[in-house]
Amino acid sequence: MKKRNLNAIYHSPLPVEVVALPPLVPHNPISVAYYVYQLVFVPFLWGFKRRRRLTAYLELYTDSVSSYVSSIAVDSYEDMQELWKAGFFGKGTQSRSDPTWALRTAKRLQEASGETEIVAPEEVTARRRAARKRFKNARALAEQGVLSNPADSEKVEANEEPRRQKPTRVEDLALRDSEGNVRQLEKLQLTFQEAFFLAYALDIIDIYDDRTGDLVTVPYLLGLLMPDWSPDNSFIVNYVVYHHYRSHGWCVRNGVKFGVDYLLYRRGPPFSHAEFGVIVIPLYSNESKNQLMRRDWYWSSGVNRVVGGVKKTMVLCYVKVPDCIDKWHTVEELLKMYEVREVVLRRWIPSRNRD
Amino acid sequence: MVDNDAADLISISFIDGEYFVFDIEAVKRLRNHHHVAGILVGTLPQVPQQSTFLGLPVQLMPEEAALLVQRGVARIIDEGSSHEVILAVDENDIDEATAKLKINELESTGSESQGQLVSFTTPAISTANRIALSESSVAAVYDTPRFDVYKYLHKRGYFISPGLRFGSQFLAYPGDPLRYHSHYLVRGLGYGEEFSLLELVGSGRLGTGVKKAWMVGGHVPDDDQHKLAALDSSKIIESEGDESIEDFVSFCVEWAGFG
Amino acid sequence: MDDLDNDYDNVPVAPGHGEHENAESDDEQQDWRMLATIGSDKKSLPKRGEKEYEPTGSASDRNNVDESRQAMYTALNGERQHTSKVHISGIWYPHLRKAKVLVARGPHFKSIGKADSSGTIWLLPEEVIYLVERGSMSLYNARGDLKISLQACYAACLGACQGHERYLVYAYLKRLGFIVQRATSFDESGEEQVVQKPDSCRIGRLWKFLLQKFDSFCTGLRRAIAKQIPSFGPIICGGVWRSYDSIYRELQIIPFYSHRGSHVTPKSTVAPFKVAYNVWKPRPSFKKSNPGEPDFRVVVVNAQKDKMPTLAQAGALLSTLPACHDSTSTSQERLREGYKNVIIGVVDYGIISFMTLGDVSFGDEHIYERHTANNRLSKYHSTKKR
Repeated sequence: MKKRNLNAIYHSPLPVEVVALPPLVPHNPISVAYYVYQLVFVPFLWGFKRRRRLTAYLELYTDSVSSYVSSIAVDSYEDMQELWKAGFFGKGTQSRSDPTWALRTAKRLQEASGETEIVAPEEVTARRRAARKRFKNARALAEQGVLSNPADSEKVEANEEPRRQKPTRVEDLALRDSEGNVRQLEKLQLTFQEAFFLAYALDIIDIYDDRTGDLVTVPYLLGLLMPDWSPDNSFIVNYVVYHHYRSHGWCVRNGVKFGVDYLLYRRGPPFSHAEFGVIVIPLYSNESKNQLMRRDWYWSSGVNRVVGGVKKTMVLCYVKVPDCIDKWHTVEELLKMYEVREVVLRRWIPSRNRD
Repeated sequence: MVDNDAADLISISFIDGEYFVFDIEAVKRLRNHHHVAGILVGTLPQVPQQSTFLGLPVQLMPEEAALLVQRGVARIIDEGSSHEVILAVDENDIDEATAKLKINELESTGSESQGQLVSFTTPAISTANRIALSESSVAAVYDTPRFDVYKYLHKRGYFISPGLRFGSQFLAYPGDPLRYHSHYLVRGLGYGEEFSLLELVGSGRLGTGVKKAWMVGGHVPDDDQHKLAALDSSKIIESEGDESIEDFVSFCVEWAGFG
Repeated sequence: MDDLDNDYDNVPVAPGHGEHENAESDDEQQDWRMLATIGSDKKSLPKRGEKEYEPTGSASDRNNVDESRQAMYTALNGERQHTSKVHISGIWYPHLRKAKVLVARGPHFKSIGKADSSGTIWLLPEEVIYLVERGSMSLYNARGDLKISLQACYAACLGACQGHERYLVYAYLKRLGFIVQRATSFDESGEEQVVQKPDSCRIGRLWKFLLQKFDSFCTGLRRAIAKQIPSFGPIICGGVWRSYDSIYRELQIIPFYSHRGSHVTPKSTVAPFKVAYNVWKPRPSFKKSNPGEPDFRVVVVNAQKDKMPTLAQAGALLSTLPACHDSTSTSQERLREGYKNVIIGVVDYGIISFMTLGDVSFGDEHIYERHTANNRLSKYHSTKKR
């Protein structure tokens, strides 16, 4: 994909709309008037408009003791695309990251039924109608127990030109809805840090309880994510780091694939490989506790090897954890109780550094 | 001169807390008969300006020294004490002039020449009387997770070397490292010791990326040994008359990618 | 494994990150039969031999092993010798932990040894072992009646090197041609004396500064109208936002350690996180009397006995180092190498692994500015009236 095209598709680093001021040409009265209009009136108009919010659903797991957040995911196809394209948030549950399952499945099903690439909108309708007819036939046959063997489905396509002989599987019948369109079965799963960032920092997402349908407000969400309220609770420590790198322009994604906590991308996965692999290390005011929790050199050599082997630099992100987090009135105050400091570790080859 | 005593034990030099072997014959015996290779850590005099091929001495890990002593194959020599007599000097009684004369004598009786350059040679091993240490000097190594997994693999015939480069405690080779690649990145753990999922993922990925598996293992305490019956890991191997290794359990992790 | 790395195909590597790949070639042992390929060109690495996956038990397998072993044993049994033309001899004095040089011929003394007021050269223990081991020096005991073998030399001098790991790193770098000297913080009690250059500050453009101020003012106004920031957010409240710049700036609420502006007071360091050696790249013009700033500073740690530093320890170490970047460096360089950095040699029973530890501050680097500037230009390109 050319750089130009990538910039067109992924044009926003965050899912918040921005209206830049036009250039001001001082001696041109039209330019000045337009500028003033944009500067003064547009915000006034916007003030009345509520920002369009995306929707997510939160699943809770409840045991005898308490409730825990099991997952936070986005259902709607449009919202998923928005979140991915504007900042690379989340992961498609049926994809490697970019939620493309619906597109890929549609393509696969078209190929399976012998269709060629779509050329014109009219043809789209025609094909869709034909597909609907085939779907109904196949469903009827399946109900009669005829299509238990996938090879039998070839009989269904007997009327079609045998472009590709991939048979429709029985399972594929369930993928289409009554209109013959591919159902949207994929969700975009958000990490807890991403969800909190979108809800609290950007105010771009409304999260609803999956069972009850109630809106999960930010304070309630924080309580669910930090049930034990200890200063070194892993959600809040990891959130501090997530927010830190996001706020300085990085695209932050989960790093478990490389045995690290986070990966930092300058713009996002389609543009280049991640540059940094971040490990989060909580730091206590009690120095002997810090001493006790130190990792060994074998660990760091191993992580460095994995991360370096895929062309990234290892970052140790130390988070100073406050002794007590009882006294805060705003989330901002809570977050400001923490402090971040980073060091990088890279492999050094002496023989390559002689000149 | 061979650096062994009448009982034919291999001498391992203990200097400043580390274990070395300086005698080439001992190095051969260790490698050929006991599959203990160690790491060469000295400059190779023939080609001194590179660090790919190194020379004597061989450095051994404490686990290697401890196992050899436990097996009755080697003994530990306290080289510091052994050489004290030769090296000692009374600060108030230094007679440098005499020393210099003696040195001149020693040097002029070196390799004789006729118009050729005189060459000066340094021997690898010394002829001092040795003071050996008892087995208790290495006993601290026994009963550690590192030693347990080292012993387990050594009994199965593996060559084992330090594993820092791959983030593990050891590397295990199916044969002489000169000819074979290592198969496992090894980590010994205590039976109840925890390790993080991230470490499992990272190590498994690292291993698979270099065509090795990550192996983790530990000694099973007596109370839990009945659990081993359920695992098929307790094959007894005939090896040097030692006790069986049924009380050790190990697992290997490899990366599996879908799609 | 690389295809699992990124979920997109044909994605470029970020600039400057490509060189990690070939680091693997330094690992694992080489085949000694290839030793013969090292010719007079000492810079060339010996060719790698082929290895097998596992022993098959066949006779040819065993032959290969025996051959490689024999090649190695022969090489290890080589003589440790030198000619009178480059002869070095000395006496080891255990109470001084140094050797006094009697005959000093050859090129080594350009970078090794220290002369006292009477012109006699004294050698440190690591220098002694290094020279004896490579066969360049004859060492004698104080009474002069015995030539010290390599084994005895280790017994005599290793303790004074402050750890075998320090000697290993010293010798490794020396062999590769680097010039290695003890740092003033080599000893427990020593502290590194480093001249701190004042941090250079960045000068932004005035209009940019004013625009930022105006933006902040608008945001503040907006918040006042919305009746202060609610306790639970949001940070990016409603209304119109003029640029991603302003959004990012508003989001930056997490306190972070910054390099800008402030002058760091050097803190006292704790072993083993003290600089052990100053290292210079190989150069013939090196003068012991006036070496200049070292190219690298090296800390040595033992993989088994030492753990990674706490931030306090790492911070103290970094505070003693000079900054290695000025206003001409790029953001990428600063983030990858660190505003200050130090080399750590980690030793694991004979195996050395080197790493650099760099002090960075992601908060000081604004990577979004370029991106958003591009966007603004492209968006309004069509409306320009020229």
